[in-house]
Amino acid sequence: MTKKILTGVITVSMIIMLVCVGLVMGIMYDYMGEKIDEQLKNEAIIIEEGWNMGGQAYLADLAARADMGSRVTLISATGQVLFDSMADSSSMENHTEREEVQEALTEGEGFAIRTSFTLQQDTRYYARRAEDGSIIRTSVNHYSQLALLLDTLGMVIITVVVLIIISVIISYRVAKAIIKPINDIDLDNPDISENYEELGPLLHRIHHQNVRIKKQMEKLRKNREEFSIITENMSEGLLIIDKDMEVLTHNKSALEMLGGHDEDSFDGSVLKLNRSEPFRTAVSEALAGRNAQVMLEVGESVYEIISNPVTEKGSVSGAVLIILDITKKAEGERLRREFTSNVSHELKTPLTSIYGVSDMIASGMVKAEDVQGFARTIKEESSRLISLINDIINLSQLDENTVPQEMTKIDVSEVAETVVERLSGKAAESNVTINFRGEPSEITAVEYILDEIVYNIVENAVKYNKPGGSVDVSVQNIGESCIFTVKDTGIGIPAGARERVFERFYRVDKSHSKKIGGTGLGLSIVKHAVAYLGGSIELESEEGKGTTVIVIFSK
Amino acid sequence: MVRNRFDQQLENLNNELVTMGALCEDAITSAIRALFEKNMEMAAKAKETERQIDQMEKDIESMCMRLLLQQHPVARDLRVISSALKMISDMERIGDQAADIAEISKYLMETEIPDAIHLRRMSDYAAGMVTRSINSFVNQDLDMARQVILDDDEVDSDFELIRESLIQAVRERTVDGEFLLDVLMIAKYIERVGDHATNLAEWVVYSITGAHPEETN
Repeated sequence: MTKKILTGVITVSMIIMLVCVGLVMGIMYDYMGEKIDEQLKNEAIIIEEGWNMGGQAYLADLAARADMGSRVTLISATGQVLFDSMADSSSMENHTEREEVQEALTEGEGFAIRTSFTLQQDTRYYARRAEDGSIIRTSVNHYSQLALLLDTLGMVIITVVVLIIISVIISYRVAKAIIKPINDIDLDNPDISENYEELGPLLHRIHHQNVRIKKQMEKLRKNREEFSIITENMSEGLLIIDKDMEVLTHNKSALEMLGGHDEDSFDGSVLKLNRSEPFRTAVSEALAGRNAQVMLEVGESVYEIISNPVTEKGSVSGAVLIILDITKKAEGERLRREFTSNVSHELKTPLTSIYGVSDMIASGMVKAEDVQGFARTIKEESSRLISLINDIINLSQLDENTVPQEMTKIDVSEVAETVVERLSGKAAESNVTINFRGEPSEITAVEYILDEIVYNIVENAVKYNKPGGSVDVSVQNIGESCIFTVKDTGIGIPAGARERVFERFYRVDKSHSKKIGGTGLGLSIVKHAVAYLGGSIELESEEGKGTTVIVIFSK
Repeated sequence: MVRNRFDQQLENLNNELVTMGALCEDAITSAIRALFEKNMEMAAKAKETERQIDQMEKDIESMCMRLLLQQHPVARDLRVISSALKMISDMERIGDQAADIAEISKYLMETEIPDAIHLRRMSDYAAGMVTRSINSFVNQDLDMARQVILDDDEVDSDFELIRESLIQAVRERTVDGEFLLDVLMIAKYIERVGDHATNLAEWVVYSITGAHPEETN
């Protein structure tokens, strides 16, 4: 802006300067011309008088004067040059055609100007008819306008330069003075009253827009914050990518799930996160405009990836990927499948032998005296089936939280003592001694569930014992808890199997399960029952030395 | 951020290379599963993946040519493109080896491979090298790339071990000769996969540093 004002001022002053010079030249020239014409006329009158009195001698004397500036010519009425003060009159042509002579002949006097471009001079003529009819002409040379201009050029240039310098200085100051308040405007908080009136609407507008921008920024910031709070706290992974697979948005869960990137920020291609086949399928399907749902295994975890295309104006501009951790679900799925196949297998075995035996009896292949033995087999197998089905019902009740009885206050030591009595016969058969030591300890529980827990644990301790071994059952109060402990000197559980003994149908030694009996559901029932009563269970075991099971109930 | 067209094209090239690398991993994993799990489906999948890899090689090659002709890349960009051209031929070879292994494994469906533990170990190691060389490319990880180059010796010594045991078996005439040759071929193919993985890692080093690994080490 300063530059514009500067050039503006300089241009204006230059134009004024030039116009002035032109005008002055023109006016000066005309004025000078008039003055010269007047002088020529006066001279001519004087010469006329001189000539009238002195005749040819006067003219000759006049011509002899070296300081005479004007040229004097005497022309006869026919146009012949009779005398000339500067040239030889005899060699001069007839002057009748000359403008001033013509005018003098017809009107008594005449003026003329002739310009010689080569000499850059104007010659002004004045002719006057004398009384005898001849014509006296005076003429003088003077500068033409161009010559005048060239003559004064030096002066003009100096003036122009001085003028430019002055106008630069002035315009610079003026420009600065104009610009300063504009520069000083605080655009964030424009003070409209202080500044130029002309800038008022603009400043007003800026002020309004400032306010609007601030509001919008605030809104955007809030939105972004909300979005990041939501996404960062999602346990599901979220990825938004553009059509070139570039990651636009991601949350921490997504980075953790896909290959365990710890860093907070990530940019670049989504393939840097994971490039396995299912993942690539999910991405490429979404970018092709189709929804996809794939399973992805990373290490020990299983993820489900749901990818959706993002369309803008009918074409795919990116994709949104949601990653769900379905490790537990997949594990649950696996356990359920295993359970189903185990149950059918466990049910099938006794049923097959019942069917086989009864088929033999029905077809009359069994002798009468053997029927009883076969019937015993049927009875044993059916009772196995019944206890298996009872166990499954118990388990499913615990699973579904549909235990048909109310909670009451029960003394754990009482329950434990009866169980020990019930199992003392069995223990004696296996040559195992059971020791019971307990103090009264009441907890809130469902009686048959508590009985199930205690019976199963103590029975296991007896079953998986060595001949001559012992089982110590104790009930203690420690603080607000009731501790039920069963310690045996049995065969123990190998380290690798300790985690798995609570799984349904899991048997440490599969080859001996038939001999020992049981359904493989005992500890599973115990685990669920303890959880149902709000307790916890711990298992310590050393292979070949024995196992200790500790159940902690809160009162 | 306004990205120019060239950067965009380089990014696309990078994505294509990662995808092709991932396909190589798939191919070699499928081939190994076909071989050891006697899985015909996996053999078919390895061959299908190999076809995709071949197609990608052609696509990426023309992409690189276009970039070279139209953009006149210099310095690092030029290195990236020229090493991409080299990498795709190594990856294409890995795909071929995987398809070859899958082809032979079809004839071995009925027979048990003797000393399978060694072959399995070697295969897994070579497949791991492929994965790690692609990882080093994805993350532009110089150290990982150099480690892959060093690890090739492991595969080579495994190959020697298997060769020795096969020679032993030939001497003792315990196993059918044709079958032994098949196993030898597979071992050789896997050894080649390891070599190509090493090459990939070398190109990664070159594209980052501008010098071939022999010069830097």
